Amino acid sequence: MGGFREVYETALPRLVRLAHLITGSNSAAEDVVHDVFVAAYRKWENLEDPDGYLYRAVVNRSRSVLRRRSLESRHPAELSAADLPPELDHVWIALSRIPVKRRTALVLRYYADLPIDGIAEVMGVRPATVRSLIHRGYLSMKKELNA
Amino acid sequence: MSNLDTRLRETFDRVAESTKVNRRVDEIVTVRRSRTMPKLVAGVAAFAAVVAFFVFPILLSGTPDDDVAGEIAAPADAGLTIDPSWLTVDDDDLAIFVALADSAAEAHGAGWRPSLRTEAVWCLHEGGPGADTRASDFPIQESLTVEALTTTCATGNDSARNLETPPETLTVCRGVFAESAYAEWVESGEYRVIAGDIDGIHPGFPVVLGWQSDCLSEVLDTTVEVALTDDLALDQINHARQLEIAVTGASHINCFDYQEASALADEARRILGTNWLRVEFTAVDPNLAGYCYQPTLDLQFGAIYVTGVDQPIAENPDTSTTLPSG
Repeated sequence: MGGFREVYETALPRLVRLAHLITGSNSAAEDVVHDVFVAAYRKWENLEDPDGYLYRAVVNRSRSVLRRRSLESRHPAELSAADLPPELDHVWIALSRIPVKRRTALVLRYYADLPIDGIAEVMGVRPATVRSLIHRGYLSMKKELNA
Repeated sequence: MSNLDTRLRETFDRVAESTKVNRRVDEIVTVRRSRTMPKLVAGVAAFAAVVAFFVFPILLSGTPDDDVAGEIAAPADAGLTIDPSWLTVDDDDLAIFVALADSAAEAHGAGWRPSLRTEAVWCLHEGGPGADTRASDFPIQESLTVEALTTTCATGNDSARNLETPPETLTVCRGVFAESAYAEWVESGEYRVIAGDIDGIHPGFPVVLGWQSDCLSEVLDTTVEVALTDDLALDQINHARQLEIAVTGASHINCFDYQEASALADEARRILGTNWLRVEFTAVDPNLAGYCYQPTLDLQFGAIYVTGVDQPIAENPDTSTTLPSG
């Protein structure tokens, strides 16, 4: 499995951080990324773009984790565990209350700094959908923060 | 930039900075028994790490055996014309592997050859490191044998070398992934089943245990759940192996487009039997101009799919990540 360990060591921190932001849970993020690497290992020789695959897989599996609502039972909420100042803590908690697709789009836009087309590719949707998700996510955040 | 933009960025950055990251790479390919482990042979893991990239040399000299060629039936036409020779091992196919070995000689040393997916074997050792590797330390024109499997697992290759497990204590079983493994495989979205039943019977692959066993009563705690039986069916594995050599060689020689490689993959499944799955590997772009495609036989999942020719000629796997003891 040439290169697997090297890619693992290099990509792990940024992937766990990304999954943490999407799932809202550090421990869930570690599980998500671990599962993705397990799956990637089995087909490592077939992966033409390991970095791209890992990135997409982490995003999609993070969303899947939330969709299945297994997060609550396996990983208690850790949204305030990041030791944030109050004004940012409010943002973090508000993020946990908006739909996961919108939250994912916001993470990819404002944290990963991906362009619209890049977000569309990672999430497997059209660019127009991404623009809509970001817009709606933005409105949802305003609503939550003003509530 | 609005105030909310700024707060989102700051929040994401602060949370990301606080994220804890635990490295668990050694768990990824660890295979171990669930019951209490007897003591581990001292120093195995450390030694294995040192020799992780060493590949046992294999001599490729000599001529093909008579029983290699001509044993695979000519296929029916499935819409695209398939040359029956693409499904039969001949000298040209073997020459492809010789050429691949020669091209990698500097990196791997004399006698090295690419391994095949149909040479896949799991080596599980009593309290020691497990290895998901391939038994390929023999000339490609010869057949895979039980001895080749046990030698691979007893003396090892790559990181699993020199495990010092006496061959006579090994047990060769057939492993089949559990339904849950197949379900996860499909749920990943990377593979789409286009023929066959993931809940059906699968061909299985060799699993060598480093202890005496009846195979049937073993309960293993492996990364991927696997059930064992005592019927290896090595003749069927060798049948698949011949087919893998044939279609790999033909793909290198003919540079198939995706449709041609798919038709060849369909035919390979027809020959091997409906217990093999025909799947689509969704990461592969079927429309790359000037790109060559080939059927790929995944023995562990019992699946056939199409990949690009440039990628899938697998080298002996680096099993350097298989070190933890049970």
